Amino acid sequence: MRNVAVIGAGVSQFGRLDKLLYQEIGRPTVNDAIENAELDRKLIQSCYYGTCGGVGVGHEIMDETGLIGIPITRVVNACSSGSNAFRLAYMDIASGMSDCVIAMGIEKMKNVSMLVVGAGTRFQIEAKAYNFGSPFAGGAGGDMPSGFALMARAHMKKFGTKIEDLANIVVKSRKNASHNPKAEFQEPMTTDDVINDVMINDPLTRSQCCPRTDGAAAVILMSEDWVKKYKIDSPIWVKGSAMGSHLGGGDPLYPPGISTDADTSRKAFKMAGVEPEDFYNRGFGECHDCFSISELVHYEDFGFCRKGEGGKLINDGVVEIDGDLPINPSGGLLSCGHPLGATGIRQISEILFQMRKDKEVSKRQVPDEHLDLAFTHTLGQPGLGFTNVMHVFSRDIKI
Amino acid sequence: MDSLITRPKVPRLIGSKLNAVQCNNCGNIRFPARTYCKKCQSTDLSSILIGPIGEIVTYTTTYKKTPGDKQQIFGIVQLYSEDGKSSIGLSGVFKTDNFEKVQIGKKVELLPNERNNIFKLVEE
Repeated sequence: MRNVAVIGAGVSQFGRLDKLLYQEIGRPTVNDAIENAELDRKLIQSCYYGTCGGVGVGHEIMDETGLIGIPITRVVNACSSGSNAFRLAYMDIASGMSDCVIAMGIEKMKNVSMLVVGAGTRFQIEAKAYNFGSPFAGGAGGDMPSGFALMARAHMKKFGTKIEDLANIVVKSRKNASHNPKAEFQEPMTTDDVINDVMINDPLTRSQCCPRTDGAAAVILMSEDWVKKYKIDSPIWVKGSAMGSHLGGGDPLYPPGISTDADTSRKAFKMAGVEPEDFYNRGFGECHDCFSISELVHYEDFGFCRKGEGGKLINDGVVEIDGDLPINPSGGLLSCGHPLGATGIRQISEILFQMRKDKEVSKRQVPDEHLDLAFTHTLGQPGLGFTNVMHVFSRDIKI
Repeated sequence: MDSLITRPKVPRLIGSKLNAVQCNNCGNIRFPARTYCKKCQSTDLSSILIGPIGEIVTYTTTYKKTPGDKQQIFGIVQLYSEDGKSSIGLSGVFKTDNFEKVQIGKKVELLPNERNNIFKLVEE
């Protein structure tokens, strides 16, 4: 396989963008990515875009940006749609099929219903009867917040995790997002603010649940041959790409965590030739913090600490921007918001901006010694299924 | 067309026990019942009844949603076969007037209901 670089990125304002058309959000984002890459747009050969609700919007945005005519592929994989689009773009170049590809993600959440994602499948037919998967998908009165609330309570019981540990994840998220003008929520919160917020599904309060947000992001990928040919400045390199799946079935609770996250991270790390401990003092990452508990169990599932010790990482400051392993310097999904199709691409944009020390992230810059290595991760739930996607990046072509 | 249907014509519950199937090849339990094992694809299956007594694994109370919504408490229960050797997890709503009595590890009983999974605390 060929080496693939990320050479440019653009991220729209995240928030309630009801009055804007898809192309009004997507066009400037794509143009920002092209400008950020200092690229002649005629070099772009292919487009993959993630969106759950935006049928055909890729064609409209490619048309509005002068790119229509290239292959355009829509990717629908719930919260992993964007990162899945990026993975396909990566594979397109790594395979030798293309040399320059754009990966985009866009969502207007008003147009998305998680409940129709699995329409006509087992989700509709037997969600109420299905064992374990249903709380995450709407069966038995459940939905996303309630599914993760079940996981939070099981984690608290089994490992002694405290509500303060979960709240402190939000405190960190808001602190980082206070330096991210594109985040939906930028106001700092205290631990008490989070705990005393409106209860959604106990033990999860409102600020522990990511908002339904509109937004877009785009990145440009390029082959090593073309990076050299076109003398691209400061590319970052994709060193690992992995994806996993499962269909409910109890894994989120035994032990509380996402078993396929662990498998997927191991595959991505192995492909990159790194171990979880290599990220300490050398790397950083953006993970899928759709709820406070999900970020905490991801620390554990990725092998950054032992099972049950996620709370220690947040309370000891390890995952702060100035900690040993900064996680979600952008503010993550909890503060940026979560436009399903855009999230995975926004995360990768953050990695590029951080590793290149772009002015975009100057107020939340991860220290230089952490910029060797980075990861991104999303967890999607199309219907009753789970889809995990993880990527590993490095600043130098060799880790 | 009929030959493609893999849902056996059996009731979901017998009394208040889950009418599941167990694979004679790999031991995997499947509920609702199907005519094949999803793990090993074997069609050599036996009926097995699970429940109605189980233990609460985790739970949550739903506070929010739209103004007309009723506050409810639900969670996941591990239900066991009569010999205690087999079990499955099932999500459902807890029927109780006192939400505080719902605790992890408490014993509950699955109530006979063809449409929804409803549990009541064994000692209330």
